[in-house]
Amino acid sequence: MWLPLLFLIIGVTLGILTDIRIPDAYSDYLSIAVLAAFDTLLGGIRAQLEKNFDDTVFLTGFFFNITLAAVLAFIGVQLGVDLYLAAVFAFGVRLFRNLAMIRRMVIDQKLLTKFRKK
Amino acid sequence: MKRRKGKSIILSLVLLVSGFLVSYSYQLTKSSPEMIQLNDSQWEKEYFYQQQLLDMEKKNKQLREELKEKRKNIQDIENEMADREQVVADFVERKKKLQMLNGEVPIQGEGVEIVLRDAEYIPDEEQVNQYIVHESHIHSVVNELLSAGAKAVAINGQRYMKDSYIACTGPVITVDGVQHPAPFVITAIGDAEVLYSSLNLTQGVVDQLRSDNVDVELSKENQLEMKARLSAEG
Repeated sequence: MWLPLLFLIIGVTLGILTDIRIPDAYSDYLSIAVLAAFDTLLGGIRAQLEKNFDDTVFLTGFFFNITLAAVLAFIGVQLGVDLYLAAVFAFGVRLFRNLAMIRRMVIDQKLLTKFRKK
Repeated sequence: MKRRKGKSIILSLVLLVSGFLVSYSYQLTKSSPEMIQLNDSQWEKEYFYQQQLLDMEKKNKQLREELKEKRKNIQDIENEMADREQVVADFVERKKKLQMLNGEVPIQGEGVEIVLRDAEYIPDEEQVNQYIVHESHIHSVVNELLSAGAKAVAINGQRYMKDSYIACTGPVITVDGVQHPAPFVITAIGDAEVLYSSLNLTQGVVDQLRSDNVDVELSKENQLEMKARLSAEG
């Protein structure tokens, strides 16, 4: 359990210490990547709670989502249409749905345990 | 157990990447310049300051132009002053030359010296008058010297000017009112060669003087000095 936490800290430190400025044109990609990462993490947590977590799906989902979002944003830039908004929207919706499901499941479990205690 | 370990590795990888992404984008946003929202009053203020800046720059430009002009003026004035100084220096030079010619400053240079003495031997039966130096002798010597190009002539150390006169007053002669007894030392500054040879011409001045029984001594001098006239009034 300590390994993921350590890696998280390492990642955060690396991100803070990185002093490379990317051009403004690519900041869209970065925001999409961040969204995709959050989405995948929350999805993983949900799957864990639903007890159908699969690490292959988790891993491929993480990278595939990021890649797809980047490709979409790239195409959008090429076409002059803000296609990355679609990715942002989709990720946002999924984020909230995952969050709601996690909340519901946690609350349900707590309520169930409470009821059982009663 | 193996499955659990693989899961945690995958989780750590994903966390690493997402942590990196999040913190990187956070840092990027923080360091990128913020958009400054300006409301109306700020706009007005900015416009006002902008206007002020423009005015100042305009004024600056004008002042710079003025400065340039003034500098040019100063340059002109300095040039003029330099010219004037040149003129003044020329005048001073000329004045010095004239003073030299006029005998107001002491001068020196090469030249000749002629000493005229009364004859030492005077036969008893002869007139004494025929054996002494007369003012006409001095006249002829001085005239010869001047016509040969002497720049300055002095008799017994007294400068002989353009308006000087030589008069015979008995046994002595008077130059500009100053009496000089024999022997008469006439010095002349100029080209020594020319002066010497013009005096020494056959049937020239020296010959004539000798035939008039005057003792003549002629010598070239490398360095002759003449004192200034005592008074400018002469």
